Amino acid sequence: MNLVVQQAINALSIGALYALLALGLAMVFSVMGLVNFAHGELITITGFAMLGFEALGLPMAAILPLGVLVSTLAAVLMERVAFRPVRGAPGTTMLLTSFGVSIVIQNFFLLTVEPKPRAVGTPAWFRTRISVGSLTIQTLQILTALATVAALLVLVLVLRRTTTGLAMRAAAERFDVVRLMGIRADRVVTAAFAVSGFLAGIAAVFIISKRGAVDPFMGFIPVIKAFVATVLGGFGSLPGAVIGGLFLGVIEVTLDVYLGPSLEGFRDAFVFLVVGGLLVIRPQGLLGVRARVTT
Amino acid sequence: MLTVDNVSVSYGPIRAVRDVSFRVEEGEVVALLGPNGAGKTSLLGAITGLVPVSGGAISFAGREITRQKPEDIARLGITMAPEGRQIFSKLTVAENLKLGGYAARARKEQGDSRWNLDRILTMFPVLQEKFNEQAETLSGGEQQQLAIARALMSDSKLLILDEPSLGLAPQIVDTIFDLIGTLASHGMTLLLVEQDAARALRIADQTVLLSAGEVEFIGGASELERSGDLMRAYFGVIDEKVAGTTS
Amino acid sequence: MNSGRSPYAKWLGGSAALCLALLLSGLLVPILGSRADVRIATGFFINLIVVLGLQIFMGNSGIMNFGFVAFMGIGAYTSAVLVTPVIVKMETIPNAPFGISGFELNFWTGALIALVLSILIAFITGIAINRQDGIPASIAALSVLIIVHTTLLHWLDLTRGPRAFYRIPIKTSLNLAMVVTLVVVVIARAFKESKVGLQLRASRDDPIAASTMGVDVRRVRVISWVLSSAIISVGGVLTAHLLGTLNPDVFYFKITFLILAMLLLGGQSTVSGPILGATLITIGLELTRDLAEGPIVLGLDLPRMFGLPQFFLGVVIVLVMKFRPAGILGDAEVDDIGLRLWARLHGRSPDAKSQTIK
Repeated sequence: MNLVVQQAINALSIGALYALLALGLAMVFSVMGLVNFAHGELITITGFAMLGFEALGLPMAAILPLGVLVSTLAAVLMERVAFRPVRGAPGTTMLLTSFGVSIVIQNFFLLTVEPKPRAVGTPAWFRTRISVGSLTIQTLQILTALATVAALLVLVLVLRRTTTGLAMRAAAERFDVVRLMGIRADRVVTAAFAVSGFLAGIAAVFIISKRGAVDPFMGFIPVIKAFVATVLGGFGSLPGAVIGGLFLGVIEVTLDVYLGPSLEGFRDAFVFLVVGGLLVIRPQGLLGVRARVTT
Repeated sequence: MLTVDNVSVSYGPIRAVRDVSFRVEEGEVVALLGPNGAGKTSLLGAITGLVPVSGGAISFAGREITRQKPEDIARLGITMAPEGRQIFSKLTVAENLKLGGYAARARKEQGDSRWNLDRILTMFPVLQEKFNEQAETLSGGEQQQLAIARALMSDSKLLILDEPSLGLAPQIVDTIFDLIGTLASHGMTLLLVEQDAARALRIADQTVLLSAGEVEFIGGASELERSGDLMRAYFGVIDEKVAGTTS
Repeated sequence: MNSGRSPYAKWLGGSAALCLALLLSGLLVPILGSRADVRIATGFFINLIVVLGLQIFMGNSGIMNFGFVAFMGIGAYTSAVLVTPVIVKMETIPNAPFGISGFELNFWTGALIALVLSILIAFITGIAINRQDGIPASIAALSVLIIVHTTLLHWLDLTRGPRAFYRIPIKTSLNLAMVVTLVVVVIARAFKESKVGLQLRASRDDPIAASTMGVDVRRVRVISWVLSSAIISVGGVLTAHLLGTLNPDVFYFKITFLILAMLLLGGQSTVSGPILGATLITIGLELTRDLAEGPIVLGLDLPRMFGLPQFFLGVVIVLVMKFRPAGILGDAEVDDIGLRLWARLHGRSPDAKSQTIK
């Protein structure tokens, strides 16, 4: 029983990170139709920024929120420079552009920094554990869960209560009609990217604290998993992204538990097999609606 | 108020609109008629800024708007109830209207807001009823009213209606056109695109007849009626009532 | 665009034109170039095989296949593991399953088995993936790559995992690579002009309309997926027997970007496009590689720059998508362009049928 609860906590904290990343992806896609492969580079950018701040001697308490800020700004910059010029292009063009941007950023870091992973400091108290009854929970996990819930609440408030949020929801349905009402398309898209950057920044801070190191390619696997999470939950749906992320966390941890030590390395392969299998049975994902194009 | 001057719209090699010119004066109701594929939607797209203009110029209230962005054109007072209504289905009626009024809020200080929420709800009582319902729960006719109301919320100076009767039952269309008539009687400037030529002619001050991207006829409804050939060519068998009325 | 030629004429004419160009280059390089140039040319032909293979699926179906390198890996490792001599395998993979360390096959048999295995896996994955459309299908395709890569990385007994699998017999000569490329060009062009290819392209442009016209969209997609993956795995086999040594990271994202850039630059709708893209990028990379090595320019010793070639590939992709999303050649094959020029030179209108649109 303890094991189950323990692993459930693991699953939720990993799932929370996937949910944050997936949600950022879903936000941008819903407003702009862009599948942003470069979303994972926000993690890398945050990581190297944190490294830089550390070198400058800033205290941990400042580095973490600054990291989130950097991620948000980086996302807005990415939109302005790389994606605004191709807005309105077909989906595949935009997807490939984001792919290209991703490669450029990864190799930019490779060119300017060494390819080896570099250690990043994390607050010592992140690594402490709390005992609750017979369970041991990492402080980091609690913080991850709390931060995720807080971020989601903020997001829901923004979407439902603010005019910008309202405009974003409308733009997700009919982008051009929003413009016909005098609402600036640019601002709506920038807002969506800012939100996605903010969410990615929070996830990044926790991912990096957990890993303790940064390297130029660290964003790649997380973004793939975030994508898988969005597809799992129902592509294009915001709640689906969250559910998909959590579900993916559950799948990963379950496989971790059941794959013996000899099969440990294959964990990711099995994760994708399971996900692939699920998508074969239910291509529209958990919350998605099936659009029948192929028979 | 609106001047369309030798405007052309092309999609690659296909010229959807060729050298079209007409004017809409303040307080007028202008009907834009023509068969499918005549270029009406492209022309509206050009006016609202969603579609690039490949030739000619469009000006509104003395300002050139040919290459302006749709957002800026909307803020000048040109608003549209698009074809197929295109309301935000997952948002409530209230939220739809709120978005409609977004740009107008900037002009509130100027005090020339003719269309505020109260006035609109008085004119469209069904929207008051369903104020907090999700827009997708509304019937076709109600959605059309929402689309028009939403467009009015932007403190509309020129309201464009793209095929308001599309997909609606005749009695519902009656209601819609009654509303449109009321708007016209309040002095609202309207550009009405319609397949239902008979109804459009009944309320229009001027008619622009478009065919294959070109203007075939501009003039009052009565002139159009007198030209029986034109009527027959484009509208087939004409409702006798229309033929007998002058607007 | 459609000058009314029959599919056979297009296929034969188009293939002939491309093959001639490739054949000439292939024959000239050993004469005019150094050994390093021969190696570059061999690599070029192998990349071309993979790009053309990818074009068969991606270009005709419109679905992004980000996982195609998985089949390079499957082809390469299968052949490598079967063909490498027993003496070597006793050292590198003594505990290999299926008694592989106990026997060795000749190159052609090994390559054939690799091809058959790839087709099998392609068939299974193809059916699974083509139940989806668009982006979910792309993610599913990407998953295949991750699964294969992870498997290669962790099946230590079979592949040696992250450590180099070495002393694979070198069998890939420039001529072999060139001949295979020519065959693939003919196949790619044949597929494009075939009935299946046409149906596939119809489904790319408008899947719903195509279905209503009786096109079994899934069937044609699976067919092209299998054909595409089979060709790509042949590229993998040739790679293994050119490099002589493998590790799983050879078949992961670096080469994915390279091949994709080649496909997109030239234009994925045509068979000529990838050839042009591959040529331009290979030349461009060789130039930047000199730079990346840190040449001595004007007496200044420039530092080594890792990732510079990839950086440029990324920039290429972004710029192409911005300025010419359909690629340099767009929809036009070399033979189309050639015929149009011919017609213009002779003062005739290039299009057999032209109508004014009313």
